[in-house]
Amino acid sequence: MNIWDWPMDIGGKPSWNLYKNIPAFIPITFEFTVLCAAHGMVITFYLRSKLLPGVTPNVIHDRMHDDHFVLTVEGKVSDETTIRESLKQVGAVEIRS
Amino acid sequence: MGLGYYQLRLVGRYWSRRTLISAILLLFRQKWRLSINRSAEAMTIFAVICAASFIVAHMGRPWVAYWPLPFANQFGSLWVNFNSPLVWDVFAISTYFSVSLVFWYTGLIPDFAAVRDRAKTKARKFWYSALSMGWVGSAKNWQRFEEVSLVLAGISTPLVLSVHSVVSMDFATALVPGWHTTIFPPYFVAGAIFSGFAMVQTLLIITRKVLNLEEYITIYHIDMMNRIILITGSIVGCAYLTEFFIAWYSGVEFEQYAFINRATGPYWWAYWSMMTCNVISPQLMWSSKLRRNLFVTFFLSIIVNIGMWFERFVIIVTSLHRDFVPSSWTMFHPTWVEIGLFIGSIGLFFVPFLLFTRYFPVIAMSELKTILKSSGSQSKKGVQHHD
Repeated sequence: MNIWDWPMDIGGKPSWNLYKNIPAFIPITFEFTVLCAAHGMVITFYLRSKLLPGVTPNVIHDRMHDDHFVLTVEGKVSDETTIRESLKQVGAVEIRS
Repeated sequence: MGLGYYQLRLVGRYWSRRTLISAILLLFRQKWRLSINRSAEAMTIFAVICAASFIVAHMGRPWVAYWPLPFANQFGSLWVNFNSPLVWDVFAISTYFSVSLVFWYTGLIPDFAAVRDRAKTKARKFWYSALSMGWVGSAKNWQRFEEVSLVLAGISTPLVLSVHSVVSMDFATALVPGWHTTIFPPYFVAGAIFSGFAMVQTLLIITRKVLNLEEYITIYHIDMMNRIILITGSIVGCAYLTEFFIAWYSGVEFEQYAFINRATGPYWWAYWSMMTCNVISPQLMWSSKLRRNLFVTFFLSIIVNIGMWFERFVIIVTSLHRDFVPSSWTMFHPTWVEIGLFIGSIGLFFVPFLLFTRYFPVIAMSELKTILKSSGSQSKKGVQHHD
């Protein structure tokens, strides 16, 4: 639109045709790509990981963000003792059910 | 005066160069980045806010600040000029700001969650819950988090390089002698790293003292940052000399006059202050004793900040005060409004920065733990390992 209506020759850099003008569009193309890529990715990450303000977190253990790892194991009630045993064997600090 | 207009605008720019540090260091997997990246990113964001406020204030009619955006309008055939680096700048700065902001915030989420889980009062619990957005740190969350951080760092590094290049093109595509220089893009990028690290030094030396972070931000980190200041300071010095050489080599008398006038004309003091602060004083950093001395580092970082301010002053004021048209030759005298705006910008930077150090985790805790693991396994073997 600008090329058509307002042809300009500034400092020996004519803008009368699109092909002469292409280099001028490169920075904006790049910036806009980064803008869309970065925000698209972060928004996807937030949604996929269910991160939104107001979400109540399911905090299993108080110290899981501090200095401990928490492992949750789903299983039948009848297996509880075997699971407890094997976890204790590999050095669990604390086991809750 | 017209001069004042440009002067102020660029004082705004002075604030706007920080970030790349953390993104580039993440990309190069430098472990020592972990202690400084959070605060460096915060400085970036607050600095860009200052810079943006200057640009809006100098548009003359700030209530139509949205006009540089190519929106569908009723102005007939009038449309933003895509040939103008000022329009590129609008895109570059807004992308830079918003991407830095999400990069910073995403990194903060696990740390907010850690603060939330240890919060004692109800109000703290409420605010940090809201800020951490329900992060629980499951293995799946962490895997996605790591991937997002890495890709964000990967795309923000060329972004930062492009932003500083575009900013420099605001000058380089102009015809004013002293601005019309092809070396500007790399020179501005080096200058940004240089002044960015100097500002990080100034603020972190105080922060680590006040918040008792000496064990996290160690002399080793300060040493590493000083090395980068030395290298980039020398690159900037090299660029200054190259400008002179090209002015002579081009054979354009206007260019030659501009550069001789810059060093020996009425603004010689600004030029030589810039040279002393930016090129000569960082050379002290060749000595490892001085690099590891807190007082010397702090003093030198202030000197570098002053030097980078003078660089802006030299580029803008000395180039404009001897324009092509002798009738516009003049000297620059700042008005009280200009001085006030400059002081105000310092406030606009420090208020959010102080709030940040008060309420936000200043050190990227969750990231720092990833390197604790290795030192933890070493300490089990009885090896004490610091840094």
